[in-house]
Parts: sequence; C-alpha cells; structure tokens
Amino acid sequence: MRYPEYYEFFSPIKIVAGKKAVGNLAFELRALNSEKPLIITDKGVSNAGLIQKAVNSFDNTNLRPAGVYDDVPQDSSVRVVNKIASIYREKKCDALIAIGGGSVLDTAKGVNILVSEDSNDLMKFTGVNRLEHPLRPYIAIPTTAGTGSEVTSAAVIANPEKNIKMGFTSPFLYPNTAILDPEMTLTLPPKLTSATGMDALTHAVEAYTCLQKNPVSDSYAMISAKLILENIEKATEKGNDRYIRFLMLNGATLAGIAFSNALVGAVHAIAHALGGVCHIPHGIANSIMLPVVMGYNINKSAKLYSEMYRFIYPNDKTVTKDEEGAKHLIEKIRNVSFNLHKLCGLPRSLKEAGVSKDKLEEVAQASINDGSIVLNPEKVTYEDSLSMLNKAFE
Amino acid sequence: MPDTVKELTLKNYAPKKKWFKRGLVKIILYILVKELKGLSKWDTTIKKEIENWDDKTILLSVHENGPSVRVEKKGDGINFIKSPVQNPDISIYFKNVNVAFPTLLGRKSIAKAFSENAVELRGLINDAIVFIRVMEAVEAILFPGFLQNKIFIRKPKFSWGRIGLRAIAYIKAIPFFVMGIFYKSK
Repeated sequence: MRYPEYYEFFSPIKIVAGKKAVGNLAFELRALNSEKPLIITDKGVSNAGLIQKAVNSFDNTNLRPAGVYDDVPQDSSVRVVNKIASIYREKKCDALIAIGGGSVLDTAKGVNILVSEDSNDLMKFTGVNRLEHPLRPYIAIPTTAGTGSEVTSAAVIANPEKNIKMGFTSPFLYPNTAILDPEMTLTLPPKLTSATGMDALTHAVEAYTCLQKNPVSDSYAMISAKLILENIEKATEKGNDRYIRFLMLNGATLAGIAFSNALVGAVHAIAHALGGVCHIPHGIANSIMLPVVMGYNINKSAKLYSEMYRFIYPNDKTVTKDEEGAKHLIEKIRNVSFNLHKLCGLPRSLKEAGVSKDKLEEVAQASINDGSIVLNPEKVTYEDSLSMLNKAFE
Repeated sequence: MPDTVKELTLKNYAPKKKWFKRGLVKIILYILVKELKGLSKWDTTIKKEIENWDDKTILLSVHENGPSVRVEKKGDGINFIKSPVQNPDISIYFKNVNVAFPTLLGRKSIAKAFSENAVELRGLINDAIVFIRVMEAVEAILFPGFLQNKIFIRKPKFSWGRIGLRAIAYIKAIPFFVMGIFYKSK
C-alpha cells in the first residue's frame, strides 16, 4: 500500500451510538449548554412516531423543545431553510436537532448557517470555506443509513428559483454530536434502505480509492465497506432486526467520516449530474454507476479494490492476483445490486431508473464540472463520462 | 526549599525569512498568469473551457499575505489585474510557500496539491473545477513531456500546435521573468 507524503484528517463529532442511544439526547443537549432546541424533521419521520421517542429523553429535565418543524421536503430547499431560520429566531432557540435522512440533516445545516451568521441570504455562503465562525450547537440523528451527513462538513440545498443545487463545505458545518440509534431506522422502507445503503457503500469504495485517501480514512472506509456489504441485503429483507440496522448505521457513519476527509470521485460526480438533470435519487444513481465506474478505474485502482475484497472476504483463497480481486469485488457489488432489485425493485440500470437516453450528453457535461471529478484516480473527460453513462443505461 | 522562583529567561525565536522561495514563487505566479492571458486567446482547449463562463475574478495567493496574482475572465479572454480585488469569485490559497513551490514548478500536480490539502479554495466548486482544467491546459503547454508524467493522471496527447504555443510562451517568458522581478504583489 502506498501512503501519501502528507495528509490531513479532521472529524470533531462526538458519536453516541447503540441501543436506546436517543435516550441520551437531553444529556447531550445539556453538554452543549442548550435549553431550548428546535427540532427539524419530515412528515415520514414524524408520522412514524420517532420524534416522540427523542422527546421522551427530556422527561424529568427542565429541557423542552421550542417546537418541531416536520415539513422538510424530499429535496431540502432554500425556501424551507429560510422559513425554519425565522422560526428559530422568533422562538429564541439556542440549538438545532435534526432527525431524518440526508435532506433533513442538510436543511438543519443550512438553517444553522443563517441563524449563526445572522443572515437571510444562504446564497452568500454557497461554495467552499465561506464560513468564518463556529455555528450554533447542532445534534444530528439519522433515520437512514446512507448519506453520512451526521459526520460530514458538507450540505446540499436546492434553490428552486435558480434551478440549481447549492453546495456548502466548511469545517464549521460538522454537527457537534451524532446519535446513532437503530430504533430510529427500523421503519425505513426496503427500497430506501437499499438505496441509501448503496450510497454509503459508494462513499466507502470511493474514499478508499480516490486521490485524497490517507491511512486514517482508509481504516474507516475498509470497515464500513465490510459492514455494508455484509448487511445491506439482510437489512433490506429483515428491516426490523435492530442489530443489523445498527451495523448498517455504523457502516454509513464510518463511510461518512472516511469520505468527508478523503472525498469521492467519478461515481458521485455522475450521480450528482443524474440528480440535477434527470432527478434520479442520489442513492439509486450511485448504486447503478458504482460497478461501471469501478470497471473504468480498474487500471489505476486494481490493487486497492483487491485489498478491499481480501479484507471483506478473507476466506476466498482463490484470489492470487490484484486484477482478480478487483474483478471479484466489482462482481460482488453487481450481484448485491441485482439481489436488491429482486428484494425491493432497486433499479439496476439508468433505463430502469427512468432516465431518458437523450439526456445522457447533458449529464456527461454536468458531471465533468462537478467537484468530485478532480480526485478520481483515473482522468475523466466528457467522452469518458458519456461512455460510462451509455454502459450503465441498459 | 527557597520560596523565590528563579527568574526565567525566555529565548526569542524569529522565523527564518524565505526570501528566495517567496521571490521565485512571486515571479512564477506572474509568468503563469501573463502566459495564461496570452494562451486564452490562442489555445482551443482554454478557449473552449472559458467560452460558457460568466465574467469573474480569480485570486491566486500564497496564504493571505504572501505573493499573489489576480486575473479576471472578461468577454472572450483572461486578463491580468494589477490592483487588489475585493471579494474575488474564486480564491485559491496555497497554505505556505513550501507547498506552492513544487506545484508551480511542475513537480506536483494541481490535483495532488488539492488532495494533500496544500491548497484552500474559496468560492463555487464548479467554477474552480473549470479554472483547474484551464491551469492544467496551461501546464500542458508550458511543461515539457518529462515533467508531464508526474503532473498528469493521463498525459496530454502530442500536438504540433501545442509545441508551437510552447515555443512562443518560452520566448515571452524571458521578459515576463524580468517584469516579475519588479512586480509588486499586493
């Protein structure tokens, strides 16, 4: 294994994980000196009764949430962020709690920017390193095992007026605390379980193979890939198994820490473009593109894919060459994706996902301007991206 | 035990001045953006990259107080700006002169500099990606083949046009070098 001559690693989040971990929410809030938090969530989470589980931790304390905003849409939007920020100010809140998937967690990050910077213009902070001060206390409680937003320094928020997705990256965007409680993911439907799980797997594989990898992020990426590959089908099939759900949560969070430091590559660049142009859900786009891009990167990354394969499947003694190990890993991931299709209908191709072939050129063009493309181990041009998209189409 | 504490004498350390490296980085930055200005009119790759770009300002600097240069994309080309720019659209900061040195001399790729966190970016990522590709196109012209193996994941294809542009760029680099010595980076 070749290590970088220099690297940086930063992950300042307290992780509170395990059975009934959400019961410690009040304690963690007090540790952050908060008395009046605002809870942000979506209708699905609130209808599943998960907010009550979190609020139950306030029993016998003088802490009470200032309110619960449960109307975050599937794609977090700047309008919603502005609305929640005004509620936060009006109710004089002093912390944020986000309970939900990536959209909810990213919405809370956007709200935190506005209330901490005392601004109404989120656009002013879009991009990299635009924040100059630490933000308000923020606790993230994921209800999916996928985005890893509970441990990352990034957020994506849609701006419907300008028809763009605004990206935010800053070391100040990390939540203070991430609470991983399997109970909070039990109600996640099979298709979402599989799609978000494949998103997390993509984080792990790309973090382990992209140019910014380092020994610390590698450790997180390797364990997370093993946890996800071993459990994603079981979690999709037996969603009420708390232990399997907990393993998946751990896998997604570790992958989040890995990619927040090592970043990601062409799978994400193309998936972001598929999301922007064709509105394909991120996890589904990643799931379809992952084996295709791995095949494209194999000349540069065979050794790394092989290392990952041997770590996850140590009993397979048939692999002697790096190229064999790499091909086995790609094949395993493809098989997992096919099994998930059988279990819950997860699309295996762009065609199955509803992408129209005439959009592929636009997607390819958007993908090469995505930030993730720079650190892919193999160079990707417009023609390369288009060729991968065509391979993934059917 | 005596109840008086022996008076401590604190030693004074001052940072060593890196005059040579800083001066050379300033000159290279100056040559680079002056060459970029010229090449943006002639090189088809650069012209294609910037044709759909809105007008914007870009700052290239070694940390906040080190040598810096500013350029603007205006109309069809890229211009060098002498005066300071308030809130540039893209700011690319090398963290210190030691990490700027190998990147500007073609001993380290721009992607590697980013992957080692040697560079801090401020601004929109999509814009920065286009600018990185523009700078890579400039490197493909300025740096000879033996250096390109180290700085490109995939070496650019040989082209006579690029060789011609390289020859012109090298001739222009001589006066740019002299002007760079006198350039006051603000």
